[in-house]
Amino acid sequence: MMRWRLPLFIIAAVITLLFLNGIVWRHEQTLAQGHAVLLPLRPVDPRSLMQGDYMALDYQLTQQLTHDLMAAPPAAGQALAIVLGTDSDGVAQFLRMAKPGEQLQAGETLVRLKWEDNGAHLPSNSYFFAEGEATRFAQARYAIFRVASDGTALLAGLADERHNTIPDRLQAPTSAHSNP
Amino acid sequence: MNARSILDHWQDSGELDQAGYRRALLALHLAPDTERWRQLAARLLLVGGALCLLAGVLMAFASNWLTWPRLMRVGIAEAGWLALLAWAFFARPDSDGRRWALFAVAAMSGIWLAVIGQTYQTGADTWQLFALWAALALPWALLANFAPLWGLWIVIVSLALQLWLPHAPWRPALSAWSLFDEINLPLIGFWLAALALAERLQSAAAPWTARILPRLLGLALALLLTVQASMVLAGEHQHVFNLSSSTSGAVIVSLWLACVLAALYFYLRRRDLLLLALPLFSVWVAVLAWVVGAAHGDDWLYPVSILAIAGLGLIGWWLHGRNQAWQAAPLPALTEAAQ
Repeated sequence: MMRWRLPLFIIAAVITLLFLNGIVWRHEQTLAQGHAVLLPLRPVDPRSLMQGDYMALDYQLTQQLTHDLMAAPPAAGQALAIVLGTDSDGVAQFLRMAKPGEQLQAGETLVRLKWEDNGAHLPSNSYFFAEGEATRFAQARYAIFRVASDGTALLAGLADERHNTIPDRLQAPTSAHSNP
Repeated sequence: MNARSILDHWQDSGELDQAGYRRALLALHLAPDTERWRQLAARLLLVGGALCLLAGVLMAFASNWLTWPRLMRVGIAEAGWLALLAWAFFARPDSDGRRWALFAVAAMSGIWLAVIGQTYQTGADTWQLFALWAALALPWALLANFAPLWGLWIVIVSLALQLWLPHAPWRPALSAWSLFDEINLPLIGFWLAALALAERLQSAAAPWTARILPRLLGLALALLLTVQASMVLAGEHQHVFNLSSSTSGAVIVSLWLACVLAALYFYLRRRDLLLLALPLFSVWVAVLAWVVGAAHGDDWLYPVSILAIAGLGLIGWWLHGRNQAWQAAPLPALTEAAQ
């Protein structure tokens, strides 16, 4: 290897490893320690695609936001910051659009979404599961998101109408409130 | 007809008996000897092994992928990347094996990134994935300095630019490009810059195979600009899509014309027949589009056909003349390279 190539090889390898593993570490932190939010799903159907079975997800929250903002829609690709609270049942409810630098009250969660041409979007619009598991996931009524302090939300799983997490592999169901 | 076919023909017609046929094959090194059989067997086994490995990977993904834990899925992509990195590190410097290993490392970086995106579903835009992939692949492209890897890198950047365009801050001012809509100026700028750099780094005496990348870039540019300019000249932008403005139409035609003139001037001096033919065919298509757009009625059918045939003939005659002139008086650089 020529003299200048070896340092470039090492630098490129180290940067790639640090960068991509850093992304994975940050997402794992969000999923492990982020604030759990339970979002009601709109009726969905399991679908089969080349990648295996997956469930198309649609959220009441994004439908409501799209309806509210359609009169004066933001630019496509613009990030939206919203504040969510929880009702007595523990399900997330839209409270208001967040203002820059706003201090949140106790029990409130900041969540970032994106506005596309056809409305507001949460990061995940599908949930992938192993082939043959469609019947179990058809019972899903809620999406469980884990939200980092900066409002980044990651889909952590799906829950049934009693808020029990539907496990990816068959095991005893757990409560979404206690251990989503 | 090659030597083998000639011998086959003589044997079939009875002019050559079996023994003579065999002797001729051996004399012309057409009959496979033990070494060639060994090489063939090794290559067959290599291809068979690679296909089995590929099939195994596909089966593993298809059957178990989504039952595996998140970190295992990401870890497998990372392990694959590390294995390719080790291959690139230990391969013989400046060998084809090392160049293809670096190609695989650059490609695998994108696959690893895609696996992370699919596993965590962060909602990032697709253009961000391609832009990040292009950034991660750039050091490997610089290291390998290998035309197929530069080709891959140009494709990745082009996809990022194409997918980014709807999000571009100036999009409302100039609208966005789609196949029959407006024009992706950043993409054309990138291709022009890549073509200029490829031509600057590459000698005019380079063999045909070493000039595949600039020729593909030239072809892509010619297609993109010719389709756009022809649509404007034929009036289809206004008639069909009602999306174009006279300003953007003028920009497209001016850009196309500037590129045609620059390509004619440069490749006439460079003596690249294929890249010289592209602007000529581009003008031929654009002129026909303009005539068809302006003409109405069946009366124009024959004049347009004659114009098309005459144009093609003129281009062929002129290119043939250039080729003969170049062969009669080769460039000094080409003569030196041949020696």
